[in-house]
Amino acid sequence: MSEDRASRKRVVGELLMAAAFLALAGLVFQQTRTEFVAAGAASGGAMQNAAMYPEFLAAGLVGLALLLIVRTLWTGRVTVAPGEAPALSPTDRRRHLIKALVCLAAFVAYLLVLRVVGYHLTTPVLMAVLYLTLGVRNPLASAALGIATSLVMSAFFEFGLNVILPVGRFGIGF
Amino acid sequence: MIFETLTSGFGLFFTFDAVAMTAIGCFLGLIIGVLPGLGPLMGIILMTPVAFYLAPVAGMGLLIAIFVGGSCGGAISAILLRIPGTPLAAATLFDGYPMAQKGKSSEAIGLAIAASSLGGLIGGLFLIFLAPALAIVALQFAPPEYFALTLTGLICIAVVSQESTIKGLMVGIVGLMTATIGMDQFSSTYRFTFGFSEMLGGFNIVAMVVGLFAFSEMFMQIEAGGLDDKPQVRIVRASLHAVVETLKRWVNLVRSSVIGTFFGAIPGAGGVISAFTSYAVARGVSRHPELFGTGIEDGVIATESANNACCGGTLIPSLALAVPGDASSAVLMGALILLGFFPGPELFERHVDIVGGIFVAYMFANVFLFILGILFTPVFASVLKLKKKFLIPIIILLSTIGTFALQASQFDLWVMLGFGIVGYGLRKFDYPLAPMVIGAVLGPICESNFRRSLVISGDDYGIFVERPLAATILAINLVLLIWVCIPDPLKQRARRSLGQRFAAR
Repeated sequence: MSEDRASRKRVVGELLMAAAFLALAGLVFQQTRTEFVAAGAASGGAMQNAAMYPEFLAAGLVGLALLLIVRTLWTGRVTVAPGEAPALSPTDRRRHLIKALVCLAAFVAYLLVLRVVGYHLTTPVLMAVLYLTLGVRNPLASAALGIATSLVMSAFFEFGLNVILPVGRFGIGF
Repeated sequence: MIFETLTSGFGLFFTFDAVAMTAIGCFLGLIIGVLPGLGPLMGIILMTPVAFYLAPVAGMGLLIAIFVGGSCGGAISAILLRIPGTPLAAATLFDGYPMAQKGKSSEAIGLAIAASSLGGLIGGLFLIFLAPALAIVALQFAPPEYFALTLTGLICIAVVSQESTIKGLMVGIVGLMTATIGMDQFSSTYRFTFGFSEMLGGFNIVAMVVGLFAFSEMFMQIEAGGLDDKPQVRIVRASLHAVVETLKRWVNLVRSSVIGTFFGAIPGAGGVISAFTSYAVARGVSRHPELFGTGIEDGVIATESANNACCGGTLIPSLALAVPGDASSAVLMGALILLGFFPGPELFERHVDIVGGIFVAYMFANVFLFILGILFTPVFASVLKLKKKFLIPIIILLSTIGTFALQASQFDLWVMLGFGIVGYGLRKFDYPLAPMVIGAVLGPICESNFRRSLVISGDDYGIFVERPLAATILAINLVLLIWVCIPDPLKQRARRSLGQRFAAR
């Protein structure tokens, strides 16, 4: 019974993904029929018609997405890529997913403050959070690794390649 | 002309920067190849921002050497742990791991390195002689032919996608679509910018690729767990005697290298197919086929020489026709464009020295592969002990700074993150990622040649079928598309009979 449910979930997921591609194609058509028309770039020959090529692509995408939907509904099955999925218990899977989400949230927060606070203050914090989340249990070790990694990387890019990393409002940089 | 190309390239390659970067690239490539889950493509992506700051031949030398080293490095973990570091080494474990189990780890690794290096050099010879010849033929090409060729490149990648051909084509089209964002070069209209000034120049290809591959891979690795696992690895030295053993089997070596180069030159085929095919051929022609899979030298030589010769093969259409052989060569093409040089026949006409420099860098990358591979095998084997909980944050940081370094743009970081999430979602639903990269790289070439063809013909679509060469290429594309209609079970049966027959042990 659970295999049936899993299979149904995969089919639903497949259909949702195909719908997402259809939505993307829909967005292209929406833009070409509104913004491009307003800019006078949706008609004429190949030279003037900036909408022609994207519309061809969107039409192709619609055709393929519909083919995929029809095939999925017809067979009731989903094509799965070859390769072994790791054998994890639901608890472990949930735990690792939470770790991934925490890392993602930390990275988003990092991007939001990077420009304002600067590389040298934000990056060690990000790295420490990543190390801690991924399994370096000792917070002091995580902090030390975070500082070390961000310093080594900045030295390589700033001294080695003359890249200027964000200094932020505090103006901290090499 | 070939002699002229090479000699003009010597001057650009034999500088401290270019030689050092090629050697460093090879070393990094071997390390990246050893670590499961990374692979040469990841290494090229991570180092592209670094290459941007170097002289053209030094930058391309770094990336090509990563390509070469990464294509070999996977064999080390395949032999020692039965886990191929890259998919390219999947066939190597058939005989490499049994050799290690018999106590011949040193010999197996030595064979893998020697065969990879020599196979790569043979692939390089084909590259040096065939690429210029193909470029001369391509000079006859006009926009309709180029348009048809870009479609071939895209379709081939999708057709051989392990996941689903339809999904591969869909992702490829999305890749082509991303290339339409920004200013249209023909009408000077801004397309799909949604009022954001940051999108006027479109998405940075490196930010896209780093997000799509590196970030999505990191999410997948975290989700898969095992972050604290420490593989039990015996540190060994590669055997120099293995070189002699490889040369003794020169027929297998040359044949496998030719197979590898051939598959490398076909867009979409790639190293995995070449390795399995050459293994199948070596076993088929062997006087003792029953010994394959028990740990014999010919098994390792067949796969490793093929998958490295493939590197030279993929560069042939990439440089001569601007049609990438696989995702790695697509990123290499992207890097070459970033450095200011556009692949295709004009590259061979106007920048013979750059072409020569790339050829020489490729050949020396294979020489460095041999030297560094033999000398530093214990280092590469010990890298296998590095736990993911340390590696993943480092890769995330390297990706972030590398992407930022290109244009000092915060927007690029958001693009990278966005495509990381997109890449993760696509992989969860078994959509291949390579077609998106290829679509993004080929997109501008595809559209400009399509529209140029129509401008030439006065908007008459017949131009694509009236020109014999363009019509022939489009007919081939049609045949490939018809392949899409063949039910998947039949296609999968064909793939399984090539690969999994040997994997069942």
